[in-house]
Amino acid sequence: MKRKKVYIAGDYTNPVWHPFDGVDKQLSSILGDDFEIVLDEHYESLSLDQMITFDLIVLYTDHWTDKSSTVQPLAPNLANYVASGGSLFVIHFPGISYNPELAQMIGAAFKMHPPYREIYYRPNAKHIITTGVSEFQLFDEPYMFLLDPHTKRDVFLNFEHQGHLLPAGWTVEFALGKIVYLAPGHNSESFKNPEIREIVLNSSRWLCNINI
Amino acid sequence: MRPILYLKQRTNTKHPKRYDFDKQLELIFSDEYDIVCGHIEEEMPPNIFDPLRYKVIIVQLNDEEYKLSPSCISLIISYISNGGNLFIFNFYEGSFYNHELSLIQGGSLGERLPLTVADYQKTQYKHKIVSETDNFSLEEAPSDFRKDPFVNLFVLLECLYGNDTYPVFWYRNYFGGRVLSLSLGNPFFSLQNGEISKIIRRTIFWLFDMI
Repeated sequence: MKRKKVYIAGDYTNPVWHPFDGVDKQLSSILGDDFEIVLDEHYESLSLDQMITFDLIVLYTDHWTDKSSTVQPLAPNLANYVASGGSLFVIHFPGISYNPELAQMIGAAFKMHPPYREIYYRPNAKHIITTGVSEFQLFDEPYMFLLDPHTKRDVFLNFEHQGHLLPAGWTVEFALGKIVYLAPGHNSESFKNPEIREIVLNSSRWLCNINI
Repeated sequence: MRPILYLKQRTNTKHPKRYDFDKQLELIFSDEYDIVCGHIEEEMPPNIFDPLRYKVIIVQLNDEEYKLSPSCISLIISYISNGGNLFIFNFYEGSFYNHELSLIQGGSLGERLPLTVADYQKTQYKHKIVSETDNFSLEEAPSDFRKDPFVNLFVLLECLYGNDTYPVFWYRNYFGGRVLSLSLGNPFFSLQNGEISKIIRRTIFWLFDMI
C-alpha cells in the first residue's frame, strides 16, 4: 500500500525557543513506518498547490512571527488547505494563533505558560486518539489558552493545574478537513515519552484516515 | 451592470416565503446591479465562488436548522480568503448548526427577543456605509449576540433594547476578503425600511469602491 505523504515543518536555522534539530529525528522515528516524510524549514514559501500534494502537514515551527513578512500568504493557504479536505497537525506551536483566522480554526489562542516543569497529563479514554493511552507525567511547558467558544473542539488530553484540568490536546473538524492540536513537545525529550509517541502516531493516523 | 450573486435556501424550507428577498433586493438596487439569484447547495458549480466573477455574494438561510454541507463551507472559505465579500442576511439560529459560519462572521446569534418596536442607532465607528444613516425605530425581533473573542469586529449599527445594546450590522476582515452580517430581516418587510435599504445599498457601493 502506498504510504501517506507528510510534510513536517520546523526551524533548523536560528531557532528562538524550539529547535527542530532533534525533534525531527524523534518525529521521523515515530511516523517513519507509516508515512513518507518530508522535513523542511522553508514552510513560508509553501503554496496551496504544494500543500495539497501532502496528506498531512505537521507544524513544529518556531519562527512564524519572525518570518511574518513572508509567512503572510501561508495563513490563508493553510485555512484553504484544511477547508478543502487537508489535515493539519500543530505540535507545541503557539505562534499559529497570532493569526486570528487560524486561531479560530484551531480553536485556541496561546496566552502564556508557567515555567517548564513536571506535568500530569490525563488522556480522554473515550477519544479515538487516546483510547488505551495511560495517564502520564512529563517535563514540559504547561500552555494556557484562550479558547474560542465557537470552535467545536473535541479534547483528548488534559493536564492538571492548580486543581483544575486544562486542555492540552484536541481535534477539530473544519469544513472538509481535520486538525489536531497537541500542546506538549517543548524539546526532543518530550517525544521520547511512550505516551506522547502513541498520541503523535494515533493523531497522524486519525488525520490520514488510517485505522488506529 | 455589476453582478451580485444572491444565494438562498430552497429545499425543505419551513418558511418558503418568509425570507424571500429577491424583489426587495431588486427594488433596492434598481438598474445599478444585476442580482443573480441561485439556490445554495443547488445549481452551484464550484466556479461561481470566484471573486473575479462575483465581488459580492449574499447568502441567506431560511430555516433555523439548516446546515450547509462541508463542501459548500469549503467553497465559501476559499471565496472569502481570495478576496470575495460575503454578505450574510438574517442568519439566526443557523449559526448554531453552522459553526464554521459563526467563526467566519465573527460570532453567533443567540436568543431571539420578542417582536417589538425598538430604537436602532449607529455606533462609534464613523464609516462610509452608515454616514448617511439616521437613527430609527423599527418593529423587529433582535437577537442576542455572542461575539468571537478572537475577531476584530466592526459593529456599525446596534439595537437598543431595555438597558442593553445588540449588534445588528457588522463586518470583519477575513484574510483577503470581508464578511458582513445583517441580523435584521425577520419579518422580511424590515428591508422596506428606508434606513435599512440605504445601509444595504451603501454596503454594496462600499464593496465596489463606489463611495
